[in-house]
Amino acid sequence: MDDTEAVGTKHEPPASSAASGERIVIVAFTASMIAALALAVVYWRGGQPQLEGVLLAVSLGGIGVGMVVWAKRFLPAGEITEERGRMASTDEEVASFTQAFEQGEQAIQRRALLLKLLGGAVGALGIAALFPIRSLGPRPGRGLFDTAFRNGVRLMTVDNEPIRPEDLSVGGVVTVWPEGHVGEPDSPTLLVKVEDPELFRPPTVARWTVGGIVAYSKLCTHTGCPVGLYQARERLLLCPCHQSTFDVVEGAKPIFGPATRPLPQLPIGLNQAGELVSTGDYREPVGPGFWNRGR
Amino acid sequence: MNQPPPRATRPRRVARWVDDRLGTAYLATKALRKVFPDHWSFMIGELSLYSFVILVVTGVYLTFFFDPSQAETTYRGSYEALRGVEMTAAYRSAVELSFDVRAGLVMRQIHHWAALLFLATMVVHMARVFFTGAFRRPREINWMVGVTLLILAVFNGFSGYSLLDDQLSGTGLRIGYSI
Repeated sequence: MDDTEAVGTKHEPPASSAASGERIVIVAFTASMIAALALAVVYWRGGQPQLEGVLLAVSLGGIGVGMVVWAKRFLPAGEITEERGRMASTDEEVASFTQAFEQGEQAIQRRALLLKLLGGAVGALGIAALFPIRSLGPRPGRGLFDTAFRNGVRLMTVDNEPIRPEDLSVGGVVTVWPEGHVGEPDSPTLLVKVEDPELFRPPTVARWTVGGIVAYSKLCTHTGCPVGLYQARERLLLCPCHQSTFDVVEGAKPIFGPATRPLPQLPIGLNQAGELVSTGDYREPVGPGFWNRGR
Repeated sequence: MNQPPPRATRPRRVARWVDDRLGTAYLATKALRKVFPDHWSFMIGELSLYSFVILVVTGVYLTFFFDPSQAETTYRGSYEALRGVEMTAAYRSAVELSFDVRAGLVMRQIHHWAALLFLATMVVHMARVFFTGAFRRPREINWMVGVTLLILAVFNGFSGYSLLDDQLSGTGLRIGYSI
């Protein structure tokens, strides 16, 4: 039952190192005990994280060092060879299994039918068990392709207030949502004001801007992080996740970083009350690419 | 072989009690006689194992104090810089663990380091297994179990630091959500 053959050399360590080895083990275990007691005292008196850490390290480490030195110095060492045992069963074991298996078969007439029905029952249950997958929720369908922006929908800040061009200052960005959908994850939009509308160049659509104010989707076209950082002097929007950089005056096209598609521009205008509104939805899906985005 | 039977000391009686019920002598002999390579690199898997044990132990301690709740609340604990700040209950419980629970910070730190070591030693261990060819027959199933463990550990680690609701977890979740 045991295939180990302890063939090879076994040697006892020399007696001189035995004494020093024992000393190390004694010191290690004693230090461990003292550290553990000190740890309990420190904890009792209010605790101090660094001291707790050090004492815990000495306590556990002392046990470890003691055990390792004990094993290395005092347990038998040397080269031992063990034959690879058989992994597969012996012929006798297979035969006795076959016999035990077949012994279970009494006189069954319609064996094939019974087996098929067993397979059918288990298979049917397995198929039925797949149906709860539907509970994972509806497929996104066209949900990824549009947002709640429509012609005339007011742009609301995070405090659910409308916003006017005067409220924005040059060099600042404000995040807005469609009215009634504040906080919705697919539609955060950045309003950026530049000092001179003449700065806008294609592919920025000029008729989608209001004065020097342009609106871009806040969702990075790389992996969807909110592009929250604005370098006002260079007029660049920076995504904090992977440092994709978008040029505000050139249609938010990416000039650095892993993003390959520009941030979609939201067409904006003014309503009767002088508040900023969207004049339509984004013309392309926002955010990162997805499988059927091109269709 | 006419020696008298060994003295029935307490350890021997306990061992005999266990063996009478579990038949442990056979397994124990196999364990003691197991031939195992002497090189230190074969211990790296044990580093992973004990990292995991430490993760479980410190994790159990932390679960007594962590509040996995998204409810908005105000911090009123002993850390001045955050007092009065609105935060989720999850983050508040983490800050309280650091400042108001005795040895809480040590447990958090140990848990964090153990998690890092866990993944690092798993990768190094996998490299050792690969370069010593220990994944070959008859140990292919072992290798597949190991790869599964690595994947599970990665997801476990990600979900673990996402619980805290701090800057790192929020950013990480945002990225995961976008994938």
